[in-house]
Amino acid sequence: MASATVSVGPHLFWITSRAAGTAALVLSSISLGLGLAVARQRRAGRGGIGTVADYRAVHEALALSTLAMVALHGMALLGDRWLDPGVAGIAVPLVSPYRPAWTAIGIVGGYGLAALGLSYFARDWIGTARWRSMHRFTALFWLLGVAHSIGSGTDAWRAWFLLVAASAVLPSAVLLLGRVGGWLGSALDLPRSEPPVRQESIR
Amino acid sequence: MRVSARRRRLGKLRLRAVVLSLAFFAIAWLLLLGQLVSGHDPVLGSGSQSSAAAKSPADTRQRSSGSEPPTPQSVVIDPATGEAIPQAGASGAAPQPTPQPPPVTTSTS
Repeated sequence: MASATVSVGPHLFWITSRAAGTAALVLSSISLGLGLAVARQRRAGRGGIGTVADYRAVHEALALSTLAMVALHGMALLGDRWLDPGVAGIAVPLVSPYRPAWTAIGIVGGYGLAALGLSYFARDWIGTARWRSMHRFTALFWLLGVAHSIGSGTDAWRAWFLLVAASAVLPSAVLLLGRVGGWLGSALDLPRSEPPVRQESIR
Repeated sequence: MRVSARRRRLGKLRLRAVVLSLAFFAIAWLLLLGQLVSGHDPVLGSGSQSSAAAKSPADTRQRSSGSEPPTPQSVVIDPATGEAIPQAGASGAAPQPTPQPPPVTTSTS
């Protein structure tokens, strides 16, 4: 069994960033899943296990926690002496020396999540209907975050990470696919799966 | 009364969600720390240097990415002055060939 003593001190910021990134991925996935469940319940007009207000409260808290984790994920790297990305490296796409394209995807995803998530507090000013249609694009930025975690995540191919990420990401992805299918169906005006109307023959 | 009870209930739900988020972060942090200390970190791996040998993060952390920071250069001590002289190109990299001017082409009509 391989064991080695490693000086932990220089890597504390790096560990913090990785843990915050993992937490952000999981929390955003759960938050997205809850958001989709809220929308589904509202459309169906019926209650599930909890009320819509319950779901929404947890969705909001998880969304804000996600944004805090995304901020910590980036800012912790400022203290990492090895990577030393600088403020531009964590804030401006394609500036980071570490896997620039994947990091840029993560930065854009983070900005998108922050903008669409925090726009909730300006909902009255934006208008509820407009805000709601804007808020749908959160899923797109979540997908960018998933791609970023796979493309540039240090732990991306570790069994524990795959297990945790898959158990959080897959259910939300399935809900999202169902929702996108519904949007596409209504956009293309596809017929719903209703029993065919029998044509009565007139004698 | 019912409104305030509902508000309290939603507040509790929010608080639980935040506490769970922090707990998840803490667990991930401890897991990564354990991985690092036990020498199973995916980047540092089992070939990590001992804490006594680890002088700086640049010495210890070697990432598998293609875009890595430059490796430290070799240093030779000048016996006359005692000063450290960095040796360019002695870090295992092959010396770069002198760039050749582009070939001149002439077009014939």
